[in-house]
Amino acid sequence: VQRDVARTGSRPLILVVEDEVLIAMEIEQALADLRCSVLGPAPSVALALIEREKPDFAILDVNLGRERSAPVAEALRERGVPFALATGYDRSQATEEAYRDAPHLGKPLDHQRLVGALARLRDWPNG
Amino acid sequence: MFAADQDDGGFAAAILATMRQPLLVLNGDLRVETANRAFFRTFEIGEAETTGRLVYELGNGQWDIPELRELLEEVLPSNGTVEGFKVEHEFDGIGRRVMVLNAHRMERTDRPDTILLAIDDITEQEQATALLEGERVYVGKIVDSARDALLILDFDLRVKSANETFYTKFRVDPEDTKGRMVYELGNGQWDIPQLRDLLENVLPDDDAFDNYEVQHDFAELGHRTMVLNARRVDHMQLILLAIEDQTEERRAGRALRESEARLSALMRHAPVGIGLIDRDGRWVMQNPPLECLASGPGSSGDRAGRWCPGDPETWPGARALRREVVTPGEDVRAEIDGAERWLRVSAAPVDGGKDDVEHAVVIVEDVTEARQAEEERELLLGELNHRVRNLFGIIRALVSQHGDGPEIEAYKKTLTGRLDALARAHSLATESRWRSIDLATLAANTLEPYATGRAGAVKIEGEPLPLEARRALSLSLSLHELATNSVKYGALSAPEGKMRLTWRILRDESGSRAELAWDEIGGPAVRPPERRGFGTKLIERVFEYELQGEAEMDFRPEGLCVRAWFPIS
Repeated sequence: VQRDVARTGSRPLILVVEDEVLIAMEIEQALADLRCSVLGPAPSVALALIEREKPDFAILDVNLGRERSAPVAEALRERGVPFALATGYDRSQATEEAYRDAPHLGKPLDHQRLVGALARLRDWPNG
Repeated sequence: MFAADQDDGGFAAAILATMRQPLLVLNGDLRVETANRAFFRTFEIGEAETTGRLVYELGNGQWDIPELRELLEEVLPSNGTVEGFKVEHEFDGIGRRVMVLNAHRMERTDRPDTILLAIDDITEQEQATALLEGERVYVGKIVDSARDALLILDFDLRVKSANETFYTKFRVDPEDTKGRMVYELGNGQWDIPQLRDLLENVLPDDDAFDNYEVQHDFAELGHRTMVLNARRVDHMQLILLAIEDQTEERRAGRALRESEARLSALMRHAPVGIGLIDRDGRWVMQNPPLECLASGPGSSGDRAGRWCPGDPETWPGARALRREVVTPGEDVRAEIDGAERWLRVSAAPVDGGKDDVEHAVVIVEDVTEARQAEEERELLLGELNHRVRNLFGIIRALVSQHGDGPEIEAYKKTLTGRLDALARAHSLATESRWRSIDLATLAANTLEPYATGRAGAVKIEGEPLPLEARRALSLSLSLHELATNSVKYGALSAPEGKMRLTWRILRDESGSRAELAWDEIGGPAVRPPERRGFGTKLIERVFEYELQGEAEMDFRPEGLCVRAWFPIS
């Protein structure tokens, strides 16, 4: 499987979980424009969980067609990886515990919010 | 009659002996000449103490009865014959006796006068009469106190008496009743053919009739339903006629029956389960639909069972018994005939006018389909919302891609082409109600704009292959990219160029997969692109990402050749 992972220097590594191919491509593009490296994008929980590298941040779609991304959020929490939700759902539709307190970037992806979320990464020790 | 014994004393003696009526024959001095056996037996006196004795001395002077003295000494001498002279006397041995005396004095020329004294002992008849009188009084009292209207008729069907109930109920005046023929009562209103038949035909044959229903329209009282009972009392020569006015009862009964019939029809034909429970929560009544619904486990069809959908303490029926009106009801899950169903249970107390609620009405409605439809609607709405947002995302993604050239016009053209392809695929998805789209339909729909006016330039071939709407949408974008690429650089850019899309389904033990082939020929010589543009990336990604398969693009000089596969379920 071909991947567009290109981690260079101190660029933060962002995991993208999004089942819609075009949207995944757009997020990829937006992250590239923001000098971030992309892990994935992964269209499903299974494919997201097999990524071995630890990302610095993750952008998760909630609805992945036939499943929800909550198990990925759970795994990220366990590994201490912050994440944001890129979803068409409002908060009342993403009520799983795993999603608690995660910022919403909206859908279509709100670039301002994405920039804001990434700005906070600079403070990270491993950022 | 005694003329005969003047000639034949033996014959007279024989007559005397056989007569059952006590008889004394006295001489002019009122001494007993002879007495018959009936006399001795009746008055318990011996023959020896009788014959030759003065009549007053008989039975130790017991026959010294003032009335007898009066008869023999005063009435008879002047009249010769006395009949029906009634005498009552208390005898020592035989008690009080009532006698009717007939006396006849026979004057004789050859010997002293003879007096024939016939004594009719009517004591028993008198007693019977008294008894009868007593009975009459007794019956009269019963008649008066009876709550049913009673008429006492004699055998000529004349009214001897009627009770108060009769007068009030049938608004008849006592004056116009007694002594009248029953048919004449109330100005002839009682001349009822059925009554005539009963009194004149039935009663003479049988000594009673029971519960005869008679309908009659009275001028003042209106229509009446009466139940007649009669007894013939032969020893009193009376007919007792009891008239029970059943009009109100019948009317009430009819109203009740009608109301029951209406209720029963309602219960039977209502498309929902309706039942009644008692205070213990037991079913006392269930309509057929409820019997079907309540035939689940726990009830085993037992009408007196305790089957209730949900918790026995808090289900709507239990709450209704605590005076609560539970509408529109609660939805509870129940297993019916092995299938899980949703039941909407409403209940209300039945106000029986008492302090405690004795019954509650329970309505059970199978709302499984409605709930499923509701859930489906919710799901569809959510899905639609999701799709719309996704669509915005896709459009945004398309717009954000840089055009292949620096010119705005080229960008615009590429973008609108992509949006059009997306819109067309979307229409197909909507037409299929977001179920599945056949690949042939999808391909024709996507590639059609490039085939117009170029007969045979585009060929689409493959067996039926249904695709999930969402996957079809993405695939259509890939096909669109391939087609636009062909129009710009490939086969479709040359007048003689042709393209072909074919596919087949391969099945093996691990499942089925579709193999697609896109082949172009007759176009200008192909060179691999210097950099991978959005189109190429999209084609690869769709197969890899959306279809979980793979696509390989081979830029052969004679024409682009794409081989792709993806698993199908």
